Amino acid sequence: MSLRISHWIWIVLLLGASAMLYHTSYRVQELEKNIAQLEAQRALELENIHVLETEWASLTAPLRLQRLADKYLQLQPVLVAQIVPEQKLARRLPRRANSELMANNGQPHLALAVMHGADGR
Amino acid sequence: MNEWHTRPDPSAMRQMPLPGLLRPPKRRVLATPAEQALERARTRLVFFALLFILVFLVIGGRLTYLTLFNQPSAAESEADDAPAPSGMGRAQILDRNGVILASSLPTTSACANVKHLDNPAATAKAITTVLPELDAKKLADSFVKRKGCVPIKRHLTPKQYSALNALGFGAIEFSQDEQRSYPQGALLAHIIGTTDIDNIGTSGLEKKLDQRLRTATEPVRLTLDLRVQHILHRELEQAKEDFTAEGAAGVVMDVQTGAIIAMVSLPDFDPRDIGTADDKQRFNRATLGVYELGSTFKLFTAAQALEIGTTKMTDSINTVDPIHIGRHSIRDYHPEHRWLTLPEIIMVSSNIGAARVAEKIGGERQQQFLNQLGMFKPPPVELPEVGKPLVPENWGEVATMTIGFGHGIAAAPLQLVRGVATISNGGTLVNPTLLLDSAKTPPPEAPTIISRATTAKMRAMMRLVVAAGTAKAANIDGYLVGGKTGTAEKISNKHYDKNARLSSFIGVFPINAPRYVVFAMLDSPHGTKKTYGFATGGWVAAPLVGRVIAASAPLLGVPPLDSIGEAAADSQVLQPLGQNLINTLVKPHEPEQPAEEPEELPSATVSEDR
Repeated sequence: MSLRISHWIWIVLLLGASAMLYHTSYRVQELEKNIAQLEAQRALELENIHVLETEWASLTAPLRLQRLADKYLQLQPVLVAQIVPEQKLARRLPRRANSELMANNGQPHLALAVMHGADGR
Repeated sequence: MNEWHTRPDPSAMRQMPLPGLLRPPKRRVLATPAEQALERARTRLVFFALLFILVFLVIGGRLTYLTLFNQPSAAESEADDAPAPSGMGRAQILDRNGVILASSLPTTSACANVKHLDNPAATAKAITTVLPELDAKKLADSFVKRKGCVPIKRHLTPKQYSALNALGFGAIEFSQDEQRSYPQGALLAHIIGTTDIDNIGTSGLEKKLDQRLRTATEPVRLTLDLRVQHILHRELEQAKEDFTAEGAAGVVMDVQTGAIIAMVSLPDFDPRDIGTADDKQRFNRATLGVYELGSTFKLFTAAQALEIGTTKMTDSINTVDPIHIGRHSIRDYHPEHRWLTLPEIIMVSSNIGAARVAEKIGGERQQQFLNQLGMFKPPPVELPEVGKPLVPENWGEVATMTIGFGHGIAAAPLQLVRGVATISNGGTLVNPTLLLDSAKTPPPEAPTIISRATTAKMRAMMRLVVAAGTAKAANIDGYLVGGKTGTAEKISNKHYDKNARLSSFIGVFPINAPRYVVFAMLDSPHGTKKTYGFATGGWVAAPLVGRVIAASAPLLGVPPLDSIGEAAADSQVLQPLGQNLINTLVKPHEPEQPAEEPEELPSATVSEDR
């Protein structure tokens, strides 16, 4: 029995195709493993973020900040007189900032003026 | 030919042409058994070949279908992208700005598998070197007596976990667990509530919303503003200390939506050590405690009298002498001994006057009105700790008169806040709520209790109290506050005790266009040198509410008024009193000359860029 050329071609093609198939299937497996790893990592990161957010909330808890501020800072609560409307503030600002400020007025925006005693009271 | 070849007629085989698989030779009589066998084999071969082709076709078809046509749908891939509900089971609780108020953290729990335990006593001893709070003997006993995995300790800290793991006992097994964490500590103890070791809500919102918190994937958002909550808490705590009060309570509520912005009850407790908190600390004075709130109730009497027209703004009422009725006598704290108009009764807080106004209304209508305001039912808020009001069984003439000035009926402070929000917002009944969702979608058919005209008169009278009456201490710069003080004697041994009071103030701001109502109450405060020994609502609660408003109004987005704007708004809100009353009661407003804007400014804050 002799093999014809076409048979050889088919055999080569078959081998090539199965090699490709195996290669692809292993690649898929690897990628899937990768995905699973990444997802596990993502879940872990999400959990970490969650824990850190809670920690942040407890570190910035008002009761704690108040205690620390009383201990280390000499700040006073903001007085109502220290709060002026934007429009009033506009007159006191440099020209460029002034025009920017005027561009979005209309809303009764509050601006905090860090000007002790500037109120005249 | 080989010997083993036993086919009967090999020559016949050779003669037969090899048939193509699918092209059978022409039918003919199969003579020899050899030919029959060959035919059978051929048929089988064809059959199996067809079967294989069919199977391959099916597999090929399925593959083609899967690769080409079965793309994952958009919804599925989107669901894949959405953040997976993080392993934490119980949903977070956030304030209105997204600050975390309660959260679940992953922890580890340890148990000992008795099956693999060789020496219970030694193991128990080793465990106590890491967890000294456990008792070695009890632990060893439990290892002997119980079966399966005997719990050692739940919610281990990471340090404890690694130390326990390092002991190296194979019998100690660890499991993932979660623990509720309250980053804000005592600040919200009564609202958020607590959970037990199995993360089941035992009080507060944790209990009321237990089911939702367990199943929800989204955090639950509250109406609370943590910053305002802190301001209210700070001021109440300070006042409680200054006046050596037994307790205190406070509420800030949105007058339109009923959203509770802040709610505090003192003394409170740290939810992290609920075990050490006593009953007094756990008690929510704002919603569960019912109190005879006293003069603040006069607002309801006045509102109803004006609404149904039994008393008009200009009517004069006799408050010359105390009222004696049955065994009771109704007196004034600061007797005026003269005839007063309704605004004056509210301004000086005359019990006699309020009793007479209530008498004219009549018991039946009074009950109906207070019922409409929700005073006969526990406050409808999302907390399990709500107190049922105490109302007289026999609503006679005496009850009508005393309830007119807030005695003889006991309600939770939140009820009062709800009522005052209703009479100052234009007359629409509000439902107090802690959930941001419910606050955003007010019920479409909220009943209107009083008219806009009456609301305007009520605002004027509340402003009068702060501008010239018992609550001048709540008059602050920049914000127009209106309100009413209340000082009620507490009942001890069935008698009113002159030295144990509930001193409160309920304020509304800005009173010309109300946005928020602020309530503060001190339980059994004692006068100080600073207050000349007084411990009434006007001395202890009114200044407190003033400070709370001054500090929280800018945070709530209410812009302060300058002196000119304030004077204009003031005269507008006082208008319903009539010019005569304004002239005699409120010192004519002298609009201060608007202070000239200082031309020179601190150089640090402003620099011209040229």
